[in-house]
Amino acid sequence: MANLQQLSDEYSDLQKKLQEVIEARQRLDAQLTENQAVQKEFKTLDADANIYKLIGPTLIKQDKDEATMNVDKRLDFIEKEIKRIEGQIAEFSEVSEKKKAEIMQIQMQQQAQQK
Amino acid sequence: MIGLQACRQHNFCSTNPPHQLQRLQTTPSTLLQASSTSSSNKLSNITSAVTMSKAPAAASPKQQTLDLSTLSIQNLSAVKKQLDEELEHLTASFQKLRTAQAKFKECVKAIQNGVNPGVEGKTILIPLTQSLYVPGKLEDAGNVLVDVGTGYYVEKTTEKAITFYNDKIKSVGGNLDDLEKIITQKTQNTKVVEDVLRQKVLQANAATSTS
Repeated sequence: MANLQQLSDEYSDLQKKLQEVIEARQRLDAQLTENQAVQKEFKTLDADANIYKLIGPTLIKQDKDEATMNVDKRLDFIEKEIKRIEGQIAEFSEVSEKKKAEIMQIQMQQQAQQK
Repeated sequence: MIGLQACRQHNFCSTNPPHQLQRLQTTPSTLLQASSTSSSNKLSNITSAVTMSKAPAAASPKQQTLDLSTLSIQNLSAVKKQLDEELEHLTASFQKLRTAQAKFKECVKAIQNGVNPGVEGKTILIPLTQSLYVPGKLEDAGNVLVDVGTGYYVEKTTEKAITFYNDKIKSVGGNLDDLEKIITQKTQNTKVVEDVLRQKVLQANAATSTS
C-alpha cells in the first residue's frame, strides 16, 4: 500500500510539472502572436516611419531596421523556446503515462488479491 | 484512486491537451461524436468529424470518434468534467476578447473626438491620474502614437491609426466568431455527454433495484 501511495504521489507531482510547462507554453504562444502582429505591422510601415520603444518610463526613438531586427530576433528566440518546451511536455507526458500504467497494474493486483 | 483511474483511460485528455485551446484561431478541437450504435451511423460520424476539422495537421492529433455508450459512468463523468473545464476556459477567453475589442473601439472614438484640427490650439485637460488633470495644448492634431505591442510605439497619422484600430477590431471579431462556433460545439458535446451519463446512472439504479 505504501508503494501505491508513493507512486500516486509521484504521479501527481508529474501532473503538476506537466501543468506548469503547459502554462509556460501558453505564455509563449501569447508572446508569439503579439510579436507576429508587431512584425506584420512593421512590414506595412514606410521606411522613414517614426518608431519608439518603451524603455522604463520613457519612449526612445528607434531606427526601423533596428526595431525590425529586434522583433525578428525575438520571434526566433520564442520559436526555439516553444520547441524546447514542446519537448518537455512530450517528455513529462510520457513519464506520467508510464507511472499511470504502473499504478493501474498495482491496483489490479490488489483487486485480484481481494477476490 | 477511482478518479485517477477513470481519467485518461480513454485518451481524451491526451488527444486534446488544454494548451491547444489557447490558440484562438485554431480548431474546433477534437470532435466528440456521440450517438446510436448502428455502424452506418458511426461511419457518417467519422466522415463529418473529418470534414469539420480544418485544423493544420500538426495541431490536430488523430480525430477520435468514440461511442459514448460504451464508456463507464466514471469515464463519462471524467469526460464531462473536462468538457466543463474547457468550456469555462473558452468562455473566459471569449469575454477577454470582447473587452479587447471594446478597447480598440474606444481608441477609434478617442481619435475621432479628441484629435482633430478643431481641437488644435484649444486648451485641454490632460489626465495625469484618474483624478488629477493639468491644462495643455495639442501641438499636432495630425499624428498620434500607437502602441503596436511588445513595447513599440509607432507614429501614425490619425487616418492611418483609425485604419489600424479598425483592422484590429476586425481580426478580433473574426476570432470571436470562430470561438463562438467552438463554444456552441462544445456546449452540444457537453449536453450529449450529460444525456448519456444520466441514462447510464438511471440504468445502473434500475439494475441494482431489480437485483
